[in-house]
Formats: sequence, structure tokens, C-alpha cells
Amino acid sequence: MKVSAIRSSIVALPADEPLAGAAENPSGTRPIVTLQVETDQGVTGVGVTYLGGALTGAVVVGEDPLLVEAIAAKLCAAAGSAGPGGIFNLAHSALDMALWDIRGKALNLPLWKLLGGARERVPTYASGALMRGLSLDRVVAAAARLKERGFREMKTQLALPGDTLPAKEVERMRRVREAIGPDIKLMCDINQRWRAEQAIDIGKRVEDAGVGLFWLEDVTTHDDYAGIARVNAALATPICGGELVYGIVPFRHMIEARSVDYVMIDLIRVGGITQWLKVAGMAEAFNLPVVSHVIPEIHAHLVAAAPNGLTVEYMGWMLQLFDGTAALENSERVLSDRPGLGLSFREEVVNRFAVAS
Amino acid sequence: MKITSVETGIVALPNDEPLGGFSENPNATNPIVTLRVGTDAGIEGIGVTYFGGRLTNTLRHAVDELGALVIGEDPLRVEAVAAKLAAAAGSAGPGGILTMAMSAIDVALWDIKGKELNLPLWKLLGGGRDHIATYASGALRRGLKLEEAVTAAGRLREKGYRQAKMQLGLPGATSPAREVEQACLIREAVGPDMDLMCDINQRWRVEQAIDIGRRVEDAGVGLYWLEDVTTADHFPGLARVAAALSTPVAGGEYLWGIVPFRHMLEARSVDIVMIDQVRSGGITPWLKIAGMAEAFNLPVVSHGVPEIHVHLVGAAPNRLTVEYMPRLFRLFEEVPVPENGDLAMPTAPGLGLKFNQETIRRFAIA
Repeated sequence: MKVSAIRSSIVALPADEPLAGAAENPSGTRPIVTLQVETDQGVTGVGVTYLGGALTGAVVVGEDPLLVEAIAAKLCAAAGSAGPGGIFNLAHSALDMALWDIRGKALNLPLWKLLGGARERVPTYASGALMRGLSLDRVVAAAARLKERGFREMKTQLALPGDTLPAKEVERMRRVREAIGPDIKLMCDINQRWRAEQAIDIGKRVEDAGVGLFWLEDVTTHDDYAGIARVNAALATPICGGELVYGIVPFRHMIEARSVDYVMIDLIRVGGITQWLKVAGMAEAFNLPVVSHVIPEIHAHLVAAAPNGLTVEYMGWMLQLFDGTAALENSERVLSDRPGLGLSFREEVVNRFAVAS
Repeated sequence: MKITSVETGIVALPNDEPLGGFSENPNATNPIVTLRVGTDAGIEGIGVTYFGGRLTNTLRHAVDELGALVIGEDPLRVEAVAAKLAAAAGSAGPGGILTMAMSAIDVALWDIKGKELNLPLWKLLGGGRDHIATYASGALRRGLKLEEAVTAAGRLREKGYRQAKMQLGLPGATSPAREVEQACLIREAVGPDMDLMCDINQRWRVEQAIDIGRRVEDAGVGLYWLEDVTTADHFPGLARVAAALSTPVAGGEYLWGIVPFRHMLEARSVDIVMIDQVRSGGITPWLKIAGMAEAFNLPVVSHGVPEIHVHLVGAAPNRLTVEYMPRLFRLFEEVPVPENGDLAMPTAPGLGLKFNQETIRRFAIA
């Protein structure tokens, strides 16, 4: 089998928030690069990347799409020193994803099963619905709505914009917890907005208020491994991080520094499925669970396959772009038997929102 | 002052080797993105970026996209511009093409600043000396035949260089004994008084670096430093090598931005900190890393483009030497030339560099 053609385009999807209906910035859009890799045997793989990348892909035409490591080495070499990291990773991941899609289709196996599927249902948590830009009333209402819709896990954010105080941060968490009751797993994302000592101070106050967080995420600058480790040692709340890390090596540094309890891996920044799996294996060797960042359509396969997979972030950014997204039942994703990623682009969405082709 | 224009191009410069006379790959070219930033004060700053390989068009495009965002900005506010560009790029960084593109812009802004203040950059940065040590680099590469490398080494000595860099981690069938022989013969050719550096370019594993490094020590080669002995971001592995050898270990050219340098220094991976102004993201971050290294009591050296690095190494109190790598020389009208193995600090304001229009016309590919 040979790769015969590469087609990419850009769609600008509306930044709506389908989970609870309260978008932080409803008139915004999210540009997504779509990729289709065709083979001489008629098998087509799809991939996406976002956060800013595009790749000609011309370099891989003629290669065997099953040789993902050989292709990765070729791309790395061709890119000179434009990597590792940055746009090179973002672009490479789209391609790697499409190659795994092809592999699954060629073997007629869904990806989660091809990867040794540890389970066929994975827990998932609602994300993106309880953002820090929403007013307190709206975030409380949205949290209650998520619970009504059956989500048993959900994520909110602290490090509020504008004038904020530790007491205000704690109050917001208390109100959200009150709205959803004691049985819902509640995560909280700081998105690197605190300093280490703020994270310890406010994190401790949230603990003392009895909010009971499932995890506290990206508590400070993501590559301050020593600083994150300090927060981790000081708080009883589990610390989660890793989504901003490019490639596999910085994960090693983060894990060796004992920075986090839960390793969050972003498929796009890590450089695709090939690299995602390596980080998950390394985390397993350190006795740490892994969770995913964005794009549940693909991450559901990976978290389901990993023995140390914990939960999938259910972020609705790209839901409208695909047919074949894993079904949601009782706050779990149910993996299907469709081969590969099991996804196809919705042509009408691609046509409607295309900003480049 | 406001930025009014940003103009880019790509030149593919021939991969010749003017110092020792033997090019490893004479038919190859090195693609370089050139940048000119114009201002309403009539001052123009120039910058370059490279290392893009087959993604050089993408790199140039990144400079164009970022460049469009700096129109109207005050070129003297390098940190404000850096913050704006980093925010605008979403999560396409730090690292990779974003950092390489930001570097060209940052360099051009420092060039403007120097011209506006009518000071050569090294002086603007507080430089306390008028000359700096430099070493011949690129002339003794591992791809040369042994006789060529030995001949080139002798030529460097004749030309008055007092420091030169060779490479080990030889291609093809090699052995520790073969590596040691190469080092011994080059040492013989340059004589006992020249500082001899040796670059591995990440081609050894940790245990190989310790094994071969020790054998080179035992053979009495007397290296000034051993560079990038293993995978650049394997900080504890590098630290193991640094602890095991008495030869100083240098590294850092492959790191993006300032934070990984912190990790490398905290791990005690190197004795000598090499900073690349393209991968670090420009002059602004270069200076921060040099300051951090000073706080760790470590000297700094530069990687590539001596035309620009002469200012930075020359200004740093913990400076050691400038890599004299002639890859971009023909791109500029005039470049620093060593005298008695030292570079005199430039006197023209800013970088003191002008693009050579004829070179650009001749080698432009975009």
C-alpha cells in the first residue's frame, strides 16, 4: 500500500458551546485544518490539527502509510531544525493520525481495539461549559444543566478574570459544587494563571471549604516542573497537567520531577497517536493515570485502549465536523466497531465553514 | 518610532567551506530567510532566520504573518512585541517555527535600537571589551576524509586560528579506536597550543560518550570542550557524562527559548552553555539565558552566525568564545574577520551589517 494523495483544507467552526449552551464567546470561530490521506488501495485516512498548523504532506507521498515511525523520521529530517515542538508537531500529528486511521481501516479494526483496547466504554467529563468568563449565575446554571443531561464528571475553571480574590475563587467553587451535589466528579482548570504560592494558598482554601475536587489542572506555568511539584506536594487535591507539553521528552522531565498525579496528553502537541502512546506507556511505568485534552472523537480510542486511561475530556469544539463520533451513554463514551478512527468529515460542514482549501 | 514595513525573502547560499577549504557536501545549499524591518524614522533593521530545512517556505511565511502584526508597533519595545506575537500565535509555540520566526524579528528590532541610539549592539548591551576570542568551526567536519580533515586542520593553524572545532561520532563503520585516532591526528596537525573543541552533535549514547571521551582523554588529546555528547534534552544523561569526564562538556544549541536552559542548568548537565540566537528566540531571550548562566557560574558561547553573536558574546561578562562559522558570510557586505585569533568588536551602529544585494539577487529562491 502506498500513500497516493494528500488533501488539506481549513474550516472555521463556530465557537458555540453545545454541552450546556453558554458560550463564552459565541461569535468566535475555531480554525481547524482538515486532512485526508489517500492510498493506492482506495483506503482513505482522515486527520485534523488545530492550534495553528498546516503541512504540505508532499514529503510522504509514495511512503507506506503503515510505517509511522519511518515517516516520522523522514518528516523530522525534512523539517531541518524546525522541530521538535511548535508548528512542526502540530502538523505532524495530523498526518500521524491519518496514518493510524488508514492502518485501522486496512486491518479492519477500530483503533481502540487495534491498540489493545482495555475497555469498550470510557468515562468522559463535560468540558468547556463552565468557563471562567461566565458570570457566577450562568456558571451555576450551566453546571446544573450538565448534571440534568447525565454528566457525572465536569470541569470548571478558576483564576477568574479581572478583580478577583482567594475568597471569591473559593465562593465560586462552593456554589458550583452546591449546584451539582456531592456525587459529581468536579475538575478545575487554572490554565497556568496562578503562581506556585497562589496555587497552594487558594488550592488549600478550596480544600478547606470542602469542595472536594477530583483534580486541579495546570496550576502554574506548565514547564515549571519544580514549581508544579511544590504545589503537588502541598495539596491533598490531585494535580493534573501536561496538555501544553510538546513531544515525549518534556513529559519525562515533568514525570521525573513528580509534578503531577494525572498526566494529560494532547494528541496534537505530543505529535500524534504514535507519540501519545509512548507517553501513556511511560506514565504507566510511573504508576500514573492518563487523561486526554480536547478532541474526544479521537482520544476516546486512546484512553479506552490504555490500561491506565482515566477519563476523556468531552470538549465539543469539533463535534459538528465529524460523523461517527463515539456515542455518549451515562457519561461514558461507547466505542464502535467502525474501523480506524471511525470518523468521516461532514462535507456540508466543511463546505459551509471553509476559510481555505 | 513606529514600524512601517516588513519585507522577507529566501536565499539558498552555497554550502562551501572557506576556512579549511574542504566542504563536506559542496553541492548542497543552506536556505536562509532574510528580513528587513522599516520604520517611520527611516531606520531599517535587518534579521535572519534559518534551520527550516524543507519547511523554510513555512518559516518565511511565519515571519510574514508575525511581521504583519508588528506594523505600527514601537520597535524599541522588544518585550511588548514578543508578548504580542506569542499571544497572536495561539498555541503554535513556544518552540519550533514560531520561535525561529520571532528570532528574526527580535534581531531586527535590536538592530533598529542600536541604530536609533547610534551605538553598536555590543556597546548598547554594556560590552566591556573591544575584542573577543573566536574559533574556526565547520572546517573539520566528520564527513571529510581523514586526510582532508588533517590537511584542513593544518591550514587553520597556518591562518592564525588559535581555536578550532572538530567532530567525532564518525559516520559509517567506526569504533572507539577509530574515533580516538581521528582526534589524535587532528591534534597533531594543529599542534599542542591550539584550543581544540570537539562536537558530537548528539550522535553518542551516554555510555559511549563516557567510554570514548575517557579514551580521548587517556590519549592525551586535551580537548577544550566536548559538545552535545548525547541527545540534547537528555539533561540527566548529559550530567552523567559531565560528571564522569574531566573534559569540559558544552551544550545548549538545540534548546528552544529560555526555560529548557533552566532545566539543563539545574541538572548540572554542562560546563559551558552554548546559546543559539535563532532557537532561543532572538537577542532578548539570549541575554536572559546568558544572565542565568552567570548566576550558575557558567560561561556562555555562541552557535553559528558570528556576525550577530560577536555582539552578544562580546557583551556578556561570562563570555568565552564566538563560534566562527562562515555559513552566512556572503549574505552581508562586510563581516567581522579574526586577527590573531580574535574578533575586533564592530564599530557601526546596531548589528553593523548590511545585506549584500548582489548575493541576494544571485541566490534568491523566493
